[in-house]
Amino acid sequence: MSASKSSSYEILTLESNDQQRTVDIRTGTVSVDYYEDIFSPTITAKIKVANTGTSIVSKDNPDGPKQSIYHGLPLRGGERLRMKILDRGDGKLGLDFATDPSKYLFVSSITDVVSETQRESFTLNLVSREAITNETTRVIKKYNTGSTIDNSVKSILRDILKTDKFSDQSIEKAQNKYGFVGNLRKPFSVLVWLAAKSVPVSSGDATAGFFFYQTQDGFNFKSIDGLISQEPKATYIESQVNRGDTERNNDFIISDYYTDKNQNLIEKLRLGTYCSQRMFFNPLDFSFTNPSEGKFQLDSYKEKIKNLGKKLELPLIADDSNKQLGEVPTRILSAVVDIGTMEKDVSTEKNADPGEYQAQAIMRYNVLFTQTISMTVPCNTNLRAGDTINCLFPKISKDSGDEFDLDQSGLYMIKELCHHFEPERSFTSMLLIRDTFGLFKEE
Amino acid sequence: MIEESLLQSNFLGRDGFRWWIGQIPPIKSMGNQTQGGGWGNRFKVRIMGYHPYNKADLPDEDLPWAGVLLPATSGTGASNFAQSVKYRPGDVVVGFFMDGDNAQIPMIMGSFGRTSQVPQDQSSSDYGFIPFTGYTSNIDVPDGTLAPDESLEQNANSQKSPRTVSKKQVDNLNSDVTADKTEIPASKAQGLSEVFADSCDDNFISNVSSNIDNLLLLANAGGDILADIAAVTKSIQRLSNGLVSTMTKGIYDFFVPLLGQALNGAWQFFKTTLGGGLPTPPAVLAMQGLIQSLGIFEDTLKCILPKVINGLETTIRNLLEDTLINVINGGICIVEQAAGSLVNDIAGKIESLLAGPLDAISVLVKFLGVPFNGIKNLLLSSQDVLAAIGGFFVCESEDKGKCVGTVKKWTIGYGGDGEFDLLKSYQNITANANASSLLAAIGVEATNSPYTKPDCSEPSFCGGPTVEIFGGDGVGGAAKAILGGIVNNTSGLSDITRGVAKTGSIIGVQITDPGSGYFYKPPFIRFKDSCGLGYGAVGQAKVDFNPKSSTYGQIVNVTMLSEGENYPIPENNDNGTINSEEVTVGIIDIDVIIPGSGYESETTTVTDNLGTEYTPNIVDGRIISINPSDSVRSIVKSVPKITITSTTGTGAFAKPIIRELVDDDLQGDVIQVIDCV
Repeated sequence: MSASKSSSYEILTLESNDQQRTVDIRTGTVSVDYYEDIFSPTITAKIKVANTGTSIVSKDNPDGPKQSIYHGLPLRGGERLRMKILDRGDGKLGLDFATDPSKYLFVSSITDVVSETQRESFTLNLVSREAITNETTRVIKKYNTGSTIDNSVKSILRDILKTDKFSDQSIEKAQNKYGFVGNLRKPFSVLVWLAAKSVPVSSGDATAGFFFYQTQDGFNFKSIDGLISQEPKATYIESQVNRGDTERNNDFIISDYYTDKNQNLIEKLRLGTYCSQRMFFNPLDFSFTNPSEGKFQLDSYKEKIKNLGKKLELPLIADDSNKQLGEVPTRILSAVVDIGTMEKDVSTEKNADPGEYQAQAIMRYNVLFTQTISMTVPCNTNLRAGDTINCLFPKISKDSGDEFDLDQSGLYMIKELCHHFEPERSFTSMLLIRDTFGLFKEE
Repeated sequence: MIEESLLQSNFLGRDGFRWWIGQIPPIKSMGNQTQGGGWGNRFKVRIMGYHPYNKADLPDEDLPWAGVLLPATSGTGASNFAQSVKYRPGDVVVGFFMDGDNAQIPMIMGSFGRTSQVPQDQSSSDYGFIPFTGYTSNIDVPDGTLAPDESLEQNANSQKSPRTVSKKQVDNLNSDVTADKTEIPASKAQGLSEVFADSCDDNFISNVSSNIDNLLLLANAGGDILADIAAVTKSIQRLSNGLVSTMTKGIYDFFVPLLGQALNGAWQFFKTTLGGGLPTPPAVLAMQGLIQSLGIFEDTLKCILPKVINGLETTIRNLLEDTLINVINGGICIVEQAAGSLVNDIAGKIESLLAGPLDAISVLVKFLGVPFNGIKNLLLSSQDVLAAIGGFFVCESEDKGKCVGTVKKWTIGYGGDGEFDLLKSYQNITANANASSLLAAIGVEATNSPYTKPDCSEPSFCGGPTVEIFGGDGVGGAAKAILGGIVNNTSGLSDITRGVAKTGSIIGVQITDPGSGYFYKPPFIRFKDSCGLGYGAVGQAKVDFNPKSSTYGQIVNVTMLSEGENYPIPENNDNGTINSEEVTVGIIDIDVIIPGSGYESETTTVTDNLGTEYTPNIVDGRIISINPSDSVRSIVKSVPKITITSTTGTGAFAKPIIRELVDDDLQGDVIQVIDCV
């Protein structure tokens, strides 16, 4: 099989805003780009369309000559698009946003519009229905301090975004409870904001940090630890050529890749990734965090957290020092402890102690982005943002007997992906992230 | 999105100063925090742009608690330095979020002062961000000592201080058509009078006077007048105890010295009429019967007090109701009429109760040796009986010294009232009682009211203020008020001033009779105008206590501590007042009220706002006197302000003494006379 297969646009139907008229744009579609990103609460897509300008009858003059899509439909934003694209790879499910109306995509904007006498072209920028709803609703109510954050997330998805595109599996449980008031913010803003405050159930006090994002399957609220712990979705091998032999499946070769970033130590230190000094003020008893209690160092927790690669090892501060970089605070964090702010009546209980998540989340997010790699592979619509994949890179040195570079190779997490479809080819490009080097081994 | 969280500094103060404006919700949403069970200084707050308008979306109870930043001057509670936070529900406050963009921990920095345009409605149960009153069930709308006002702004009518004047005078001020009618007395008790206990005189008249005056004031002020009448009735009923006891004692005092002679006369009478001059058994029996009847008379007299007092309630209540119906202004002449009626009624009741027993001893009465025209006549015809009520003459004769200068009645907010002329009052009471008795005796119901002259206290015109000098340990003294700061009446002020063309303040007092005998206690000064229009003037008599002085024991000056306002200016300069616009008046001395401390001659200057300089006399850092630097007096038409400036001293306070200037004052001292001839 070819690594860059052609695409089959099974359904690409655009509905007018009043849903009374439709137009099939399959023949005019130049390309389709579908995006997922663990930083983005919504999926997005771009469809480039070019047609002759006689695609649809006029709404105002049905008996008149046909008009272009842009003017005849007309395209004004908010139109629904049914999209189903087959992925010709083995076992690939393709993209299906046509079978279930709740999954239809919506036109958020139309760009690159070129209108000439006999032809027109434009780009449709598409989002999920929830992205539209996100702009028209606000999180208003108060979420009780007795509720865990994952319950609040479910409530916002269900009650405000009015969506059922999530499941108990896609919304991972958080161990910490947090009371907050929506402050009239948009649902996506609140959901992403909550992600940074959430502590996974399994990690104790060692780590924190979730991502809220949407994939083909729906909405996800998952911890970094949880994502790292999942089984890799696929294994890709770096190769510059398609192999016609049966030795390897050409669908899983790495067509192209380059390393965007491979550690930025100064930045990590500045962000307090490895060690930070916390000081919290308690307005109830006027206590300030004791310096020894306020010190947070990754070293204390590294045995409890999971990595995509080997355990994190940091260099010494100096040649003549026995201290690692992770033992010296490189950032100061300070905050006021929330005491009973969200309670109905008088309360002296803490609401979301920042000591339980703040430094941990900073550590987790920053460590995760130690390495970033851009990679292109044959289209694989089975991949989702947040998935981990195994990547094998050949060793460059000829001296070693190993076939693969054991530092570079290993598990990577898909931070973002793009499935690109053209009539003649398709591929998936990804941005991969990784926290540590080497192959992960269960200690 | 999540990058925003990752890019935060998480360092207090560096993630944005997110300030906001919000409204404190109704008090019921704040639960125990505002009921004494809270911690910190916290209020729930509905924040503009962060919280919804509709309470169905976010009930008041779900709003976050906001802490309150305290100003530097309030203290924190440490070492007892503390001032309470005074935010009220409905207040609009300004604050910031202590957690920056997270916007979950609000803090209040300050508030907007309410304006008079802010509605004072009750809070809406459906919507927030609607102005509402700060009064709650805990802090109710004031109904007396504080004007209901929910504004705090740079406006003369905002949070006006209560006036230290009576309700009546406040009503006068509020009757001005141009005023906002926001004047209010500083106290409900303002203007009410009270009589202090003293050991010299019976205070019956003073107390009845106080009760009637207060009743008239309370009636004018509104409120539960029936309750007021009941209270005053009880009070006068209690006061009457002493009066009835004294009357009873008066009957004893009349009969007892005469009984020996009367019994002897009766025995002779029985012997003559029943025994032919001999002590026959019928004569003895008759005598025994007479003595038995005398015992009954005495027993009746002993028990008369409760019977009379119990029967007085209706009488007193009727009297008070008549007072409210017929009397406009209280005053001593009114009290005399009321007391006369009361005394008459008491005497009648005593007479009625004693009628039977007295009839049984009629034989005895024949031999008293003095005219006896019945119990009531006995009680009302004798001035001595009434005067003896409280030992009035004791004060006049045996123990006169200790009663001199005693102020009987004090008016709250004004000071002592002038002394009663007790003798004159008792005479008037007797006259009034006898008049009532006479009318009743001849069966003439001239009027149902005890008041034959209910308008006796009404002024016929509003004259200038008079100076009353009373109290102290001396006698005598008279003075005229010097009027200044004069303003012409305007049409809008006519209700306040009752048509008086000009009103003014009392800027000084001209002594016309210095009195004498004030050796250790100066007299009180009181200013009074017949219509009660003026208010606020307070004067302090200065007496010469120097035994070697030629004016020892005399009133030498009156220092005006407060000049007051709204006193009527007589149209024709009558002899009772001095008009500063027509007569030259000026500063003749400076009275050092408080000497202060730390003053030095070199660094202390004293001036007034007219530019006149004065020389302070400083002893041990204290300013003991201030004299004009030159002998030419400052001519004034209002009270100048004395300013004491010093780089070292503090606390001194002085007031000018203003008096009519004579030619010598105006010419100054003669320094040298040169004969040019």
